[in-house]
Amino acid sequence: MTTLKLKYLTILLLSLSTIGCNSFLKEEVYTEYDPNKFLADETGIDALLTGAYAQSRIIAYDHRNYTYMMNEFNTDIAFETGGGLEKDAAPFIQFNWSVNNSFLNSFWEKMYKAIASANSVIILSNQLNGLDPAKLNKIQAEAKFIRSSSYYFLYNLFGPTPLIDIPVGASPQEIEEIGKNAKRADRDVFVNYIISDLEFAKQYLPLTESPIGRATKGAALGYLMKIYLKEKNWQKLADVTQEIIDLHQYELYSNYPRLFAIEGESNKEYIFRAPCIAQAGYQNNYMAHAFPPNYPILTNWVNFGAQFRTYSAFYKTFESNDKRRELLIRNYTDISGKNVELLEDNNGKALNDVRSFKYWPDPNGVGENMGNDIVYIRYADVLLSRAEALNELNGPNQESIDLINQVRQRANTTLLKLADYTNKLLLRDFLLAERGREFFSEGLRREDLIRHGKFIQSAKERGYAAKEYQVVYPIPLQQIDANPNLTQNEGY
Amino acid sequence: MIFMKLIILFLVIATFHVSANSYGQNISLHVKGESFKSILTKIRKQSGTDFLYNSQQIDEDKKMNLSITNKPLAEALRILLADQQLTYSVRNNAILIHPNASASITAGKDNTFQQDLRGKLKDNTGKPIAGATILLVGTGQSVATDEHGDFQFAKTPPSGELRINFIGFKEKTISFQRSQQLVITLEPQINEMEEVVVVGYGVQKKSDLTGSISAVQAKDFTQGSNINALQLINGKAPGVTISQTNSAPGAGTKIQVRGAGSINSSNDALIVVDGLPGIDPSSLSPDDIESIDILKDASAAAIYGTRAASGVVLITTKKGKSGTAIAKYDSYIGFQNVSKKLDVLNGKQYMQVLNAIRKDANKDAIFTEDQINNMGEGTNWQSEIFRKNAVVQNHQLSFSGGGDKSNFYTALNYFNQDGLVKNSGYAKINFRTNLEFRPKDYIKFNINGNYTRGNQQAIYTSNGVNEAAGPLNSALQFDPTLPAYVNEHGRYYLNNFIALDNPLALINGKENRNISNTFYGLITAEIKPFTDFTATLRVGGSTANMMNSSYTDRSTINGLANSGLGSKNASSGHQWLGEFLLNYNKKIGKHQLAFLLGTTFEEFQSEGVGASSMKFLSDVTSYNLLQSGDGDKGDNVSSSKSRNRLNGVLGRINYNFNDRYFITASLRSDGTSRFSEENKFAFFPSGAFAWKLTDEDFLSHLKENGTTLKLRFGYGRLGNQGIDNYQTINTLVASGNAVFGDKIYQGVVPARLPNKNLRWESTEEINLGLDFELLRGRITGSVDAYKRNTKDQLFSKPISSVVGFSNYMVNFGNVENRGIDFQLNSKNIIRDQWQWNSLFNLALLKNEVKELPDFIPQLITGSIASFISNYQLVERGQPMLSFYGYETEGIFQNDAEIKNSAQPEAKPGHIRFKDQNQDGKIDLKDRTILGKPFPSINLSLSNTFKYKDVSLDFLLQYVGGISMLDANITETLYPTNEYRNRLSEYYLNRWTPENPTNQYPSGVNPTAYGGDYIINSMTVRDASFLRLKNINLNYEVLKNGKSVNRVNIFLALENLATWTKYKGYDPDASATGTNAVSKVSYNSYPLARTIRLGLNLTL
Repeated sequence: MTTLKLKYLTILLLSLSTIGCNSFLKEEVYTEYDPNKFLADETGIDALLTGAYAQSRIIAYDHRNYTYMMNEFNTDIAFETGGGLEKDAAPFIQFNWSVNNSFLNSFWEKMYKAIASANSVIILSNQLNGLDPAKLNKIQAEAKFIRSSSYYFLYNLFGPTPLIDIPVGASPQEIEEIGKNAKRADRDVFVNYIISDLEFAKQYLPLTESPIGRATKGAALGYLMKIYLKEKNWQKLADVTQEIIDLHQYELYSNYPRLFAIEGESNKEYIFRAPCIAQAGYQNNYMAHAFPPNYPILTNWVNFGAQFRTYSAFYKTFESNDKRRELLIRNYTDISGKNVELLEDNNGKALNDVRSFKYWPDPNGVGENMGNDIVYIRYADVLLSRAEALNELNGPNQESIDLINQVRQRANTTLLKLADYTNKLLLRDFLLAERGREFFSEGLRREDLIRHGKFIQSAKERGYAAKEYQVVYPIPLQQIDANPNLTQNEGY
Repeated sequence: MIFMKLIILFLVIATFHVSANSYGQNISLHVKGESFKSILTKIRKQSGTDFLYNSQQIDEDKKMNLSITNKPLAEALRILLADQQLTYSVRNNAILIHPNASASITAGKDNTFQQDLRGKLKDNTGKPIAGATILLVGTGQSVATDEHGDFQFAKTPPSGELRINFIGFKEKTISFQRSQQLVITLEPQINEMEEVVVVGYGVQKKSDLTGSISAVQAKDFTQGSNINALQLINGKAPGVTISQTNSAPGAGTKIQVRGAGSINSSNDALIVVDGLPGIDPSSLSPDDIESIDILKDASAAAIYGTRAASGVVLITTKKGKSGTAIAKYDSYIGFQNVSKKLDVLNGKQYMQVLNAIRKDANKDAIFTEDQINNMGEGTNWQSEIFRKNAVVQNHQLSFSGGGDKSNFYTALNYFNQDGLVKNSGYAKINFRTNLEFRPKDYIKFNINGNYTRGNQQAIYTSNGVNEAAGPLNSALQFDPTLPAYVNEHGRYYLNNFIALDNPLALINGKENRNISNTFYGLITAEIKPFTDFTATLRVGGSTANMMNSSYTDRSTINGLANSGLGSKNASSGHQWLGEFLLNYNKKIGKHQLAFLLGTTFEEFQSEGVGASSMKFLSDVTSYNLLQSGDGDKGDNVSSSKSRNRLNGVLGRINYNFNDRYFITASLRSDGTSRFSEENKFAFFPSGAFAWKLTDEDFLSHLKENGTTLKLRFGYGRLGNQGIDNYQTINTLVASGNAVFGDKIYQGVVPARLPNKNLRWESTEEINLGLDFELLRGRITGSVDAYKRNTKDQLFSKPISSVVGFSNYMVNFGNVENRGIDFQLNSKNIIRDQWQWNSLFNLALLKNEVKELPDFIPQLITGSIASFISNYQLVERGQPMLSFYGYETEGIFQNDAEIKNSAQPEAKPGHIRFKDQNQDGKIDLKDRTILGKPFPSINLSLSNTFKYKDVSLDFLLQYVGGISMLDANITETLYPTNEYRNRLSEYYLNRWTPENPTNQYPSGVNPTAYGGDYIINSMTVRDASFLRLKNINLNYEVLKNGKSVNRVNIFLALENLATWTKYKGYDPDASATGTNAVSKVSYNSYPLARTIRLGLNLTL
C-alpha cells in the first residue's frame, strides 16, 4: 500500500507541476511568415513588392467590375443584361448606384491594400542594410509607381481620397487611429502627391520592361500623362506625351484587330499592362461575358449568362472600312446554323446587341480563363492625348491632325485634313468620338466623357435620370462609417 | 453502491415506509399498545435514522409495549425486535429491518416435503442480498435471506420453481432440482430517479443533480436510419434542437442547445465520447451508444470551460455485463422515396408562360403555336435524377459479456445508404471494442477503441450558380422541353440561354468521393489507493484521415471546357488528450462531500495535401491518374498544417447535506495557444444549488402521497474558442502572387492587423429548475427556465480601410437567449400486458441581441449562391441574424394605385412594397425584420404502446416560429435568365389584367422589383412544421428462448407526414450547413420517406 501511495503522489505531483506550463501553449506558425525574419533581406522585400503588384492588379473579376461596370456600362458604348450580374450592373447602367455599393467599397479596399503594401516596401527597404543605392532606388521607384497608380484609380472613381503614411513600427491601435482620423486630401495636394511619386519613379525605373508587367520609365510617364489629362493640364500633358514619344520605346502595332489577341502580346504599343494567363485568379475573363448565346465557341471555352452588349448606335459611328470595327460582331451563325442579327432587326430597329470581341478569345483558354493581357496604357493613348493637348493649347494644328492620323491610318480609315477642322471645338468633339472607337472595352470612356463634360448628358440621352454630381462615385458608406472624418462627395 | 441505490429506491416505492427524521442520539421510549410502525417513527425522530422494511414481511400493525430509557439505538432495536424473529442491518445512514433468516417462516403444512433446499442470493456484482423473500411457487412457502444472502427451505419437493421478487431487482423465476446448491443472481432494476447520469468528468445520480442535464438512454433513442448519433436524441431533450440540414447520405446533423449565442463564432456543441472531447458524432455506430447526456446549463457545462458555450453532449458507449455472454445481431433494410417533389412548369406550360410574358412585355414570342401544340409534358428533370426505392441497410453484430474481473463489449457495424438522388450514397463500417479490467480491488482499466471507415459518394451540392450549379438546382430550372437522353453526338442537350448544365450531365459527369478513416482510442485507469479516493488517468487520442477525390468529365460544360478536371485532397489530423483527475468522496454523518481536481492537456493538429489537374488524355482514368493531365495550367499542388493546444485546470466540489441540500461549485481555468501571453488563460466558474423540497417536514405529506420535488438553481460561465489560429500575431501570407511575362511570381502580403487583446467569448447563464415526480413515479418531469448571455463576442471590426486593412478582430457585443425547457414523462397505463408511456417535451426560446459595438450598430450579412446577399441582420433588440428585407403588400393592380404609391416607376403586376418609414419612396431604409432562423417553440410528443409482445411507438415533432429564405422562390420570381424554368405556382397564377391576383406578380420585367428587393416577404417564408417523424411497430417473436434468447422484428416508417406552410423540399433543411445559424433553402437535398423492416436477434 505504501508503494502505491508513493506512485499516486508522484503522478499527482507530476501532473500538477505541469499546470500553467506556458511553453505548451506557445503558438506555432507553420503556413505563414514572421515578418521580422522574412523581410530581413532583399528577397523578402522583393516578395513584398510582388505582393504589392498583385494587389494593385485589376484583373479577373476586378477587371470586370472596374473596367466595365464602373467605367463603361454608364457610357454610350456598352451595357449588360442577363445572369446574376444583371442586378449588380443595373445601378451602374441606370445611374442609381447607392452610397453603400459593395463593388465600389471593395475596389476602395483593394486599392488601399496595394497602397499599404507599397508603403511597407518603401519603409522596409529603407531599413535594409547594405543594399546597393541603385537597387534601393529602383525598389522604391516601383513601390511609388504602384502607390501612385493606385491613387490614380481611386481618384478616377471618387475624387481625392486620404493620403496615407504609416510610421515604422506603428501598433495596431495606432494604425487604426491613423485610419480613423484620415481626411481626404485637397485636390492640389492629392494630385501633387501622385505627380511627385511618379516623378521619382520615372527617374529610377528602367526603360525596358523586364519581365513584362513590371513598371518602367514609360509606365510612370504614362500615369503622369493620365493625371495631366484628367486635370486638363494641357501644357504638362503636351510635355509628358512628347517625353514618352522621345523615349522611342513604343510604336503602334500594325494590326489593330490582333493587338489584343494572344499573338499581339509582344507588341510595342502596350506601355503598362497586367499580364494574364489562362488560369483562375490570373485570368482575363472578359470573353465569357461577350459571346452571344449559342455562339459556336470552342469546347474549351464557356459562355456566361451575363452578357455584355454594345449599343448599335456606337457601332454605327465607325466607318465601314475601319479595321477596329472588325472586333465588333454584328451577326453570327449559331451552333444550330441559324443566322443571328445583333445590330438591327429587319425594320432597322436597333437591337443594341453588338458584341465586342476586343480581347479576342484565347484558343488555349480554359473555361472562362483566358490569357489575354489587360492593357492599362498604350501608345495610341499617348498620341491622341497629345493631339488633345495641342488642340486645347493652340486649336487645331497640323501636328495634332498628324497624331490622330497615325492612329486612323493604322485602323485603315479615312485620314483627317486640317482644313476640315476650323475650330477647337470641332476637333475636340472628333477626338472624343475617336477615342471611343479606339479605346472601346478598355474602360476609358467614362473619364473621357467626364473630361468633355458629356458624361451626364449622354446618360440622359439614353433615358437615365443621371444627376450632375454623379461624375464621381460616392465615398463608400462603409468607409464613412469607419471614419467620420471622411467627407462625402457633394450630392450623395 | 448497490445499497445506496437500494435505499433511494426504498424511499420512493410504495410498500416501503420511511418517515422524516429529526435529531438525537440515545433513545428513550415508553409506549403501551402502540403499533410497531408508530414505534419506529418515534425512534426515527429521536435517532435521525431512516428505517426500511418490507411491509409484506413484517406485521407493522403489531401492538407492542416497550420501555426504554436512554439506550443506544442498537440496544433499543435489539429490544424492539427481540421477540419478533426480526433482525436489522445498517446500510449507510439507514437501517434495514428484515426477518431473521435463521428462523424460516413456514406457511405450508404439507408433509410431502422431503428435504432441505439451500441457496445463496447475490446481486450482479457478486454481493449478497439480504432480506429478500424467496417464494416456493405453488406452495405459498417463503423464506428470507440472511445477511450473507443465504436462505434455506426446510422441506421441499424434489423439484420446482422459486420466485424472487425483491425491490430494486428484476423479478426472477428459476427451477430447481432437489439437493442442488443454488446460487441465484438478481439483475438490478433501475428506477428513473436512480439512473446514473454522466456529468462532466464523472457520474452522478439523477436525483442528486444540481444542473440542467437531459439524459437519454438507449431504450428511448429516436429510431431511424441514422448515421449520426445526434439524431438519436431528436425530440427527446427539451431545449436541444436537432436538425438534418441536408438529407444527403453522410451529411452532418446540426445541434443547437438553447439557441445560438455567438454572432461570428462557432455555435457548435462540444461532443465528448467516453471522456474524449471533440469527436465527430458520425464516426460512431449509433447502435453502440448506451446513453447520451446533454449538459444544457452553464452550471453543468462550465467544467468544460472554453468549449462549452454551446452546450456539451456526453456520449457513453456500451459495456459488457459481468456474468453474461451475449451475442446480438441487429439489422434492418429500408426503402427510401422522395417525400415531396416541387411543381415546376412542364414542357407545354413553360412554352406558354415564356411566350405570354414576352407578349405582356411587348416582345416577340419565343415559341410558335405549332411548337407549343407539339409539346406535351416535356421532361420532369426531378424524376430523372431521383431514385425510387433507394435502399438503406444496417447490420450490427455485437458481443458482450464479462467475468469477475473484466468485461467486454465489441461490435461491428455496416451501414449502406443509397441516395435519393442518383449517383449518391454512403457506406460506413464501424468497429468498436470496449474493455474493462479490474485486476485488483483498487484499480480498474477501461480501454475503448473505435474505428470508422466512411465512403461517401456525393452529388455536387455546392451553392454555386450557373455552370457551377449542382444537379438539384439544375433539375428545377432546366429547360423542360429538352429530352433526357443524349443527342447524336453523344452529348446531353443544353439550352445555351440558361447557362446551366444539364441535370443528368451533372449527375453522371461529376464524381465526388470522400473516404474517411477515423480511429480513436482511450485508456482510462481508475485507481483507488485508499477508501474515498479515486485517481483517474486518461490518455486518448484520435486520428482522422480523409481523402476527397473528384472528377468532372467531358459530358459536362466545365469538364468539356477543361478537358476533364480532376483533384485529390487528403488530410490527416490528430488530437490527443492527457488528463489527470483526482476524486475524493466522503460521507461524514449527514454530510456528503466530493472533490474533483484535475488537469488536462489537449492538442489538435491537422495537415493536408491537395493536387488538381486538367486537360486529361481521357476521362477513363477519372481522378486516379492526375499525372495524365496536361501538367501545366491549372495543375495545382497545395499543402497545409495547423495546430492548436489547450491546457485546463479544473476543480469541483459537490456537497450535500442529508441528501436534501445539494451544492455544486466548479472552476476551470483554460489556456489556449491561440491567444497572446497576456490573455492565454481565462477562468470559468460555476455554482449550483439543489433542494429536495419534499424531504422537508412541512411537505412530508406530499412525499407520503408519492410526490417528490427538487428545486435547482445554477450559475456558470462558459467560453467559446471559435477563433482562427494566428489572430493575435503579425504574419505575412503567401497570397500576393503576380504574373510577370507568362510566369507566376510568389509574393507576400500582410495577413491581418493583429489584436493582442483578443480573449474568449464568454457566456454566462443562470438556470432555475424544478424536477418533479408525481403519483409515485407515474408522472415525472422537469421544468427549467434559463437566461444566457454571450458577451465579448468576436467581431471583425470594420476600420477605415485606408490603412490597408478593412477590419480587425475585437471582443464586443452581447446576445441573450432565454427560455423554458419542459419535460413530462407519463406512464399512462402500467399493467402486465398493457402499457402506455408518453414523453412530452416543450422548449420555448427567445433570442435577442442586447448589445452591439458602437462601430457596428447594424450588421447586415449573409451570402448564398452568388446572387443573394445581405439578407440577415444583427441589431440590438432583435433576434440574432434575423431575416431583413422588404415587406410586400400585394400586387399593383392599376396605374392609379401606382401613382399614389411610393413606387411611381412600378407597372401593374409588380410587387408592392411597404413604405416602412413613410417617406414616400422605397429604399434600403424600408427594410424590416421578416423572420428569424430560430424556432421560438419546439414541441415533441412520443408515445409507446405495448400490448403483450407487440409495441407501437411514434414521435410527433413541432418546430414553430422559424423562417427560411427560400432561394428557389427567389430564382422563380427573379430568374437569372428568361429561359430558366420556375416553380409553377407563381406563373400559372401570375398577375395579368385578366387575373388580378394580389398574390403573384406578373413576371414581366422582374428586375424592376428585384435587385435589393429580392429579400422580401414572398421569399422569406415561415418554416414551422409539424412532422410525424417516425412510427415503429415492434413484435417480440420470442423471449427467454432456449437456443435463441430473444427474437424481435419491427416495421418502421420515417418522415411519414409533414404539415407545413413551407413549400420547399424540407422545412428542416438549410443550405448554409450544420455550423451556421442562418437558414436558407437552396439546392436542398430532398427529404426521404423511409420504410424499414428490421430484425433483432439475441443469443
